[in-house]
Amino acid sequence: MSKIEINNIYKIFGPTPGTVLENVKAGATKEEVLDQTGHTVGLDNVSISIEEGETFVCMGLSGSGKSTLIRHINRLIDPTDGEVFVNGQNVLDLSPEELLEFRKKNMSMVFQRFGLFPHKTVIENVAYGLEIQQVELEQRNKTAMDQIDAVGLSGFEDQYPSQLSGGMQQRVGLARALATNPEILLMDEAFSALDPLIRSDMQGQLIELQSQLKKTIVFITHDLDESLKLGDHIGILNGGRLVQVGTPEEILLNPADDYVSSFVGDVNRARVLKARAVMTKKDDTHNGMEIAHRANENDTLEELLPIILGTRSLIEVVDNSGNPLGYISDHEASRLLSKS
Amino acid sequence: MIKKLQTSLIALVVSVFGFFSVPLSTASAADCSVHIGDFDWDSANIHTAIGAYILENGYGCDVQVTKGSTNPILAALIDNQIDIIFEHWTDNNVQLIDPELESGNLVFLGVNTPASEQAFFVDRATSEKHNITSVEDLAKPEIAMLFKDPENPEKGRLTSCISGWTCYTINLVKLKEYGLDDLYTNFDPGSGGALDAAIMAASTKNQPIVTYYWTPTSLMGKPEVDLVRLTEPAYDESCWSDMMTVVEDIKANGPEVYKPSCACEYKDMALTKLATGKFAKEQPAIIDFANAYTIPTAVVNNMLAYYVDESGGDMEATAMHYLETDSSWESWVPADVAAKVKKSL
Amino acid sequence: MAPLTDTKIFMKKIPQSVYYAIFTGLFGWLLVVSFNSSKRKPDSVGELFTDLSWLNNWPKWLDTPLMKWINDGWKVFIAEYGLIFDAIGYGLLRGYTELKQIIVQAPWPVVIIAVIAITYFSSGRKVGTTVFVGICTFFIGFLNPRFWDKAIETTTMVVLGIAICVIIGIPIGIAMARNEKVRNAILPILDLMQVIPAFCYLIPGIILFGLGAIPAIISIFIYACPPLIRLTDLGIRLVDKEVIEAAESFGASRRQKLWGVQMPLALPNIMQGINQCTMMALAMVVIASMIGTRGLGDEVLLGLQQLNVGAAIEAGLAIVLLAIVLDRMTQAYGEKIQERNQPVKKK
Repeated sequence: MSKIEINNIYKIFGPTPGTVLENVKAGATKEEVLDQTGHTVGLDNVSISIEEGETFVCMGLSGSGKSTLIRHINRLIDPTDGEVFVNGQNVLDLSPEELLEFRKKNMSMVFQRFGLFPHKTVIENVAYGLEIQQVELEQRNKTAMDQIDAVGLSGFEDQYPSQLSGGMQQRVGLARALATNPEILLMDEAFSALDPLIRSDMQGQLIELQSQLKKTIVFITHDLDESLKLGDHIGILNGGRLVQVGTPEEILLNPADDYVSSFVGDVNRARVLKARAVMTKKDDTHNGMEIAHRANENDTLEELLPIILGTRSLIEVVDNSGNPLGYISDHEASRLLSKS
Repeated sequence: MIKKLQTSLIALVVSVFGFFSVPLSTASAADCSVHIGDFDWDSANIHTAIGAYILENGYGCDVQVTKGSTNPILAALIDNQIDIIFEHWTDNNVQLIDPELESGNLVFLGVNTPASEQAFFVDRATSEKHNITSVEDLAKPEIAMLFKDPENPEKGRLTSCISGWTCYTINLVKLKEYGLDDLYTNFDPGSGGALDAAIMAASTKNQPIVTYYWTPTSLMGKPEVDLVRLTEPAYDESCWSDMMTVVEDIKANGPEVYKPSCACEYKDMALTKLATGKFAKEQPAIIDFANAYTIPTAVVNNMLAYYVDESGGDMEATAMHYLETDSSWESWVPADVAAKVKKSL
Repeated sequence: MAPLTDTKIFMKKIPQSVYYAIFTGLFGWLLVVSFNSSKRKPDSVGELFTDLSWLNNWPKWLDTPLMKWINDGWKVFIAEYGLIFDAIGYGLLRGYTELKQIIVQAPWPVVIIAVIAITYFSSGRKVGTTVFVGICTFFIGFLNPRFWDKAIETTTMVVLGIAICVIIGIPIGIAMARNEKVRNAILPILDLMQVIPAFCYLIPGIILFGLGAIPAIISIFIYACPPLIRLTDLGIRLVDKEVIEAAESFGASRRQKLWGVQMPLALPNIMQGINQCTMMALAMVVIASMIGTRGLGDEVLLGLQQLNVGAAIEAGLAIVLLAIVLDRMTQAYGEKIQERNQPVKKK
């Protein structure tokens, strides 16, 4: 079983969700339900599997249900129908005490507007998860300081959140989430409230952190570029329905419907597509042709373009061990860069 | 300057208490308008109610009633802001009123109730158990502790008058004169209602209480209340007069100016009425009526019982009940006035 | 997972019309009972139709016998429960007298210094406020030596009253913030407590507790507690939802959430509530002088009753000074917390 499994989740907001469930299961749209019953459909039959160690990005516009979905994982919200499994455990079966334990041990959350406790200092904020677990003061302060150093905020541990800038506050939020060493990180539009330069920085830091820590990250955003940059898999939500799930390349190259197409239409494909996705697999037709450059499978097309355009030769694509996997020529580049 | 401040304070107090004032009449073209002063105890209230009813319905006057404590109302009367009061505890306020009578600013209007009493009372149970029948009996420390003052535990509590009544200062002097000052506090209950409530509380809970009280009142008629009057040194005119001089002095200048003088029981005095000289000149007909107004004590007691038990606290209804059931009032007024009053009942 | 919504559907189905029927029935019953128990009713119902004079002035028989019911009920109530109230009164009285004695017997400079110290530290070392409070405290005694002890009596009552308000009111406020139904049930009671004229509960207070300080303290509770309850409720409900979610996401239990996050963040509002409570308590103590409560209030009443203008104003001024001292002491602490909790801002 995957690390996190979300099976056929329905979430309806309103006074009597149970009565409306049947309508929704029968296929009524969000607008129809709202008109007829005054209830809002948050999620409509969403199913997702998230593997351990991957970064899963849940993407959609406001009202698509992405914030609702992520809150089902730590059961801040209960579904109207459906199941959520984490580590094989059905989250909905947990008693209230078990739920608290579950939240303490397995996962942490980072919030869009940081969610820091204004009345606690930075170090107290970072140590909060450990405080809830009733770890001794000295021990938890030590762990917290380590995290504070790791996010580059040494020296600020005795300040209050109101004294920090937005970027610094979110770093505190991140440190706080990591302090309890959870296996799962839930990030609810964590970088959406930051200005572009800081946001870029933070995304880079997250990727680096992830390469070292290999946590399971569920990331929510409305920004396509961010999804494509961070996600191993991306799920696109529209009006509570899951429209497509796939790797960034799959989404870009094979949009499931018009909605996704229009979404990805403006993306800078070169920046996203990796050599691995662009190449033609190694076969005999390429024997004997000149190789201008060897590229790693994870290099982006953007990096390779100048070489392709400049040399008019082949680029050989190899994996991390150096084994040749395939080739890229200007033929592949032009095919993939043109908008379909 | 002080006089001016006093006048403005009187005006303020009268207008604040005038919130209670009841414009009883929406009648047209009144060629007489009367401003009656009412007090904060029930015997005064009933006389004011009867008087006001007759004035309004019989004489067709515009009647305005202002309620307050002794001090403000008497001051207003002296200042001629109020025209007439229907009950006056003469001997309690002798020093204050006599000069006004002499100068003609105020005039006496005869007796309204022939007999009243004021005294110190103890609840019957305690009186019988410890044989307390006079104020001398109170002078023992162990007796004082029966009435222990919760806020002043070394002394007993004499539940006394409110500071707006003259008897507050009179009781203060009496305590000193009877040698009870070290044993008892002269406790001001704050308002007439609070005094009644305190006595009711002690009576229903069977707790000891020593208190000042008076008749005619409705409280004394209630079944739960059973108080025994304590005897004091017999009433003596010159003794009372000396005491009242000290009382007036203290009222003006504070308790420090106390001088030993004399003390005796409150006289069972007749209650009178007062009006301003000015009003007497302008409205002789009404003055005749007011002069004639008098009700025997027993009848007053009955009416007060009616007020509490039957009317449910409705003074006007009690007044009307009196006018309907007792015909003596017809002799106070000319026949045509009587007819109008009867018609309105 | 079967939703728990089926019970709710059932409740909704008891239609409005049933509620209306019940209320109309009650109203009709009340009319009939009032008519029958009135002493002024016409001899037969038929008379109502023949003689229409009852349409002019409000008829005497259209009078609920509420007064009689309350009076009868009251007698029974005192008979049954009088002892409980005696016990409560005794306990409060002990507390009041002890506390008063301690402060009254302390030398007055010590008291002034204590007040200054408290203000200094609770305001976060603001010198200006502290000096101002010190001067006001001094002037209470300076206006008239008698006022010093009286001010202490008044303050002791106010402090005890506030203590009761805090002990009872804050938990109620917390309960209201958590549960909409509790909130809807309690809000009308709070309105009642604030609006009902003071004498309506002062006089019964005398009968239950005797004259003096104790009914005053109970009255302070009735009069001054509602603002504290309301502001506690508001303060907790206004805490940023995201912050609450953060606490929950780390597995905080209800208690950890309440004491670690909600209460500290609601504290500015709660302090404001305590401040309001203090001011209203002071107002009530003055009103309570009309039931024999000693203190600065009774000095004002004395001046008023004896037409001593100077005394009344002097006492009034002393009360104002006392109000300033108490106000500054409670406000300052609230402001200090407020500064620290200022909303998250970007640099």
